[in-house]
Amino acid sequence: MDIETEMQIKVNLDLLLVIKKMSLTELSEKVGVTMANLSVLKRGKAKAIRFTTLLALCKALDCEPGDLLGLEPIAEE
Amino acid sequence: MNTLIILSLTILVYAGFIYWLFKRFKLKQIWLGPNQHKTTEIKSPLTLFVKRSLDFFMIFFFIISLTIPVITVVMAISQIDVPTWGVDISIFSGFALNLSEISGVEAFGVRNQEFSGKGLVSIDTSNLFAWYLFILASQISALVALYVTAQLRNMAFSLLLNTPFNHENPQRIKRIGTVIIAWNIVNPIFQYLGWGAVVNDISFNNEGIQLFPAFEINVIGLLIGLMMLLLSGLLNEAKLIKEDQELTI
Repeated sequence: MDIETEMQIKVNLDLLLVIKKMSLTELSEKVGVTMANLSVLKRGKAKAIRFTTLLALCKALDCEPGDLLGLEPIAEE
Repeated sequence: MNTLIILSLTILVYAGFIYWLFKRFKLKQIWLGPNQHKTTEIKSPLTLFVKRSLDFFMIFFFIISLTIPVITVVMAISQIDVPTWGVDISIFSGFALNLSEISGVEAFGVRNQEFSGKGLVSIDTSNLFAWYLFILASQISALVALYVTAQLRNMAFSLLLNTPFNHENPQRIKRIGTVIIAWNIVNPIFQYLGWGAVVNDISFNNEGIQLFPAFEINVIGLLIGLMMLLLSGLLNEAKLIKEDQELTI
């Protein structure tokens, strides 16, 4: 299977927020990223993530980068 | 009396046509520009100056393109009584003047008594074909200028709204480039064939004076058009980079 064409990066922010019982507003304040940008990340619309943002998110959610990011097949429209 | 009625009816029809133009092409919307609801702080006085200048040119070209048909009708009516319209038109022509062939005329400060070149020549003609050609050329020029001005104005709007790297600007530059290239290809052909036909109709009773069809390609114009197409590609890349930048968290 060709990963580049059929798979995409999935951001498990929703799941982690539920597990950590944290709201998006709270996370936004802790990480210093705007709600709009977190929303872009959550909806999977982001094109890239900075290491600093990833580190801050991992610290705030007390998780590993691998917990936050995963692979999923691209949904056919 | 009949003339008055016909004239009034014509004016009414023309007014109706202008109203239809306004509605069909959403001219009010074009004038107000895209995203007019956005309030923004104007940062660059230079951009504002450019935008105001483009406003002026847009009104100017719009009025010209609306006036030309009216002038045509008035001129055509006046032509019924007088064989000439009494106004000079500019035609593109080559010319050659050999003073040694013309008795009584001599030039000083030159080695040969010959002058030649090509350019715009003003003539008062009774040739109706020349008149209609001139009107058609003027109308097309005005419409092309209006179109290009409208595109440039929209780009000025996007600069004032701080959104220069939007997805429309590369398209606008591409359109301007295409129009410039098309213009610089069609215009020389038109000048040679159209004005050539007019020039061939003009004759002199002396061998020393000659007008002949001329062909001239505006290389700089063509290069500007090509540059615009390249610029459109560059702006498209810039737009993609900006999108990436915006979506990098």
